Amino acid sequence: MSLVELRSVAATYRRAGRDFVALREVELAIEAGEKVGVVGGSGSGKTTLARLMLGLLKPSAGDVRFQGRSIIGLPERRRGWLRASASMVFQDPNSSLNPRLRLRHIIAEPLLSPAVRNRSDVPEPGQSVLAAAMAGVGLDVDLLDRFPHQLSGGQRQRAAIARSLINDPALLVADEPVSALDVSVRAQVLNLLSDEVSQRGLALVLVSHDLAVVGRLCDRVIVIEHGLIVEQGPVGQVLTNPTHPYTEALVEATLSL
Amino acid sequence: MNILEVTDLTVRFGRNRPAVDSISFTLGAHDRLGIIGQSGSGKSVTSLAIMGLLPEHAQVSGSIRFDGRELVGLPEREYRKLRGDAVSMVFQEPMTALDPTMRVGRQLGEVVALHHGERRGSIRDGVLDWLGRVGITEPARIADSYPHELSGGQRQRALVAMALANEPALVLCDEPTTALDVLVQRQILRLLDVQLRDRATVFVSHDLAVVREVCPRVAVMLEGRIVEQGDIEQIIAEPRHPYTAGLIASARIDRVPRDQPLPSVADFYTPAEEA
Amino acid sequence: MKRGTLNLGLTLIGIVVVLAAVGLVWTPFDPTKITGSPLQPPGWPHVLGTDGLGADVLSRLMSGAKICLLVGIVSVAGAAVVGVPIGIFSGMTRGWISDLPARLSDILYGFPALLLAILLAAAVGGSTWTAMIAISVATIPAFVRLARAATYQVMSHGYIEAARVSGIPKVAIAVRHVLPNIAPVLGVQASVSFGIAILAEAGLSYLGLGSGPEAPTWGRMLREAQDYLFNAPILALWPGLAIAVATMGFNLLGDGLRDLFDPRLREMS
Repeated sequence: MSLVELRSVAATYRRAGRDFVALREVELAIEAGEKVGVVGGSGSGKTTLARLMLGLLKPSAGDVRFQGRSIIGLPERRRGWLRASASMVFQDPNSSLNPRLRLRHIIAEPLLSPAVRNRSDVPEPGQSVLAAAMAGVGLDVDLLDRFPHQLSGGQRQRAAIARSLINDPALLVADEPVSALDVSVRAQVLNLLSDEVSQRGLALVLVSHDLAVVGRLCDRVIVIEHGLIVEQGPVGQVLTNPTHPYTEALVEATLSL
Repeated sequence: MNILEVTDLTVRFGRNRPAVDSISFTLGAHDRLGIIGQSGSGKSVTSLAIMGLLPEHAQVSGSIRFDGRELVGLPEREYRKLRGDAVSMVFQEPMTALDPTMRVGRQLGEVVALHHGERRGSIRDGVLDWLGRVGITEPARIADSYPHELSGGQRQRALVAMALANEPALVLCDEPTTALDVLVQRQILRLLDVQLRDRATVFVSHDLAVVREVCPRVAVMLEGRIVEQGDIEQIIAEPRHPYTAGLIASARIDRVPRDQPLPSVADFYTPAEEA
Repeated sequence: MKRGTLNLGLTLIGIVVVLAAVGLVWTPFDPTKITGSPLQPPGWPHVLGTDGLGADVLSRLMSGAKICLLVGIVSVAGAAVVGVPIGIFSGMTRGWISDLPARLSDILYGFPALLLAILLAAAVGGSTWTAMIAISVATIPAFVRLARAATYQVMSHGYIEAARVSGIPKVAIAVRHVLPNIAPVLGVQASVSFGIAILAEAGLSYLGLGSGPEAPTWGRMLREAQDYLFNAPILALWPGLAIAVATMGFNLLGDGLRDLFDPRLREMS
């Protein structure tokens, strides 16, 4: 049984009165502990794919399964097993952290969900748990009482990562986790993600248009163009010997120093 | 002859450490200077100071001479004339820089009209001409669209057209590709490279690899100061300041083996007050 | 720096609050009794003079301040308590069930608050309570619309998606994430609505649809003063001034708060 399975998934959305196809006929399986990069330009459907896995969007056709059970057509209160074991890190920590909450309340949020509280192995959101979560992402414990705007961009994204790991998930979906960050702090956040994912044996789905980032963190890469998977394979092979012209264009457009 | 001479420019907000601290650089009429630095380094404040777009309570000292004319202390009315004519700016986020309630063609038309004021009938032609020049394939359809109906790349192209339509002598680009994916970024950088020929350009970015595509010269800003400036290839090959060295090392994600941690700027340079 | 509007608003409101607070425990004379000869000009002991029947104007003004604030507080709080949850719910859900309250409020919003209040007060008869209920009902749509629009904006933020991914129930998301982030705009609206409520209450009692004769409201004072407009025009000045000060105070406070909360202005400082 795969951790995540997408079976003939299609997704459309309406904008300005017109229907757009975001994904068509996507077949995908992600195993426990696997690190998969989802690569494509903006509008390719890669972000839609990530949101479908977490039930944040509904597919227009097909089935999405998490740990063998379909997440489609269930009311939110019956998706507890998904909520307790899947997390997400967003692109922009300015937007993904509630500006009116202190860090301690932001980071502890996943522990407040009814789904997680039903799991016996999850600790109470006490000081020691929060301190450990902060230490785990390299943040000073004193920052727990700060508000997001009192932190730097890199610290905010570390806090977002701390939140995503506090319920000890099996799947971490990261949507462009470093592209809103300065080049100067990108490396540290990438090191952090890489360490945490490896140590915890998490499955990682990394959505990015930055091939260098995907090459750094992932084992397998999926290239998506206009809602279709056009190429996939081991990361070294796809990034060094791309076979599809779209992948070639992506590789060619990637700037390096 | 230099078109832009910035001398000992200092910008302060209140009693804090200056956001820009006594920086100097010059720009010839066809030169391009990249300014790189992280957020809070003062790079964006510098470009806003040149554009005269700083908030009222900013205290500016030093000199910004554009085409022989002193811009520090220039009245807002004069500045507005200058911005419509000789100096323009390409912003980072095209969605906020464009008016969402106005068709793209009309917004661009306002700029075109400023320049071709005398021949009113040709404004539409001017708009379509400019949209074509920035590589928009269906200029007529795009001109009649609202910003939200365009893709990110099309919006940024439209923004470039708006910045260039008044044929400015100096263009400031503030992270013009940061919100774009690599494919569109490549296209926009190529477009800028062509369209900025025969103009002076200041290109602000946090990404050295992006700046390198457009600018032969770069200034590295840190905590409000320029810590080094010069030929970009030379600086990449032999950075003199440890911060620059850290910036370059941490950007080379693809050169570090997977089992080794990426070097970060902090491994090379620690800010004085935090040490 | 830019707090001038806010401070002026707070000062004007302060004057009304002090008048009302003192009036709660002490007035120079009984505001509902005849305590002097009619139409005395300002002087001593009747500082602001007496009205057409001989009641003390200052005492009536203080008593009116009390009613004015009471009506404002009750009607705005009532409107917010009903309107904000509806607006948040509507902003958090999609589809017809989300649009329904919004469309209804749009229709109600088309009526001026005062007109709606007149209709309601006329239907049930005038008293302080009907005035409050009428004004409250008329104010609900403003809160529904604003809360819905503000919620819509908040819903586009990543922290809402993060909360959904964490399995936080909808009601908890509304309380934890939506409400605190829309509170500033609601505060601005409350202040502006307060000004409108005071004006509406004055209008209703001017028309005789507000509080009964036992309660000297500013609107009623204004109407009574109308009979003596030629002999004692100053009688109309006092309640008119009081209404203006209170309404302006809350409007300025609203503007001041808006400036204070405007992120574009805040970022600059």
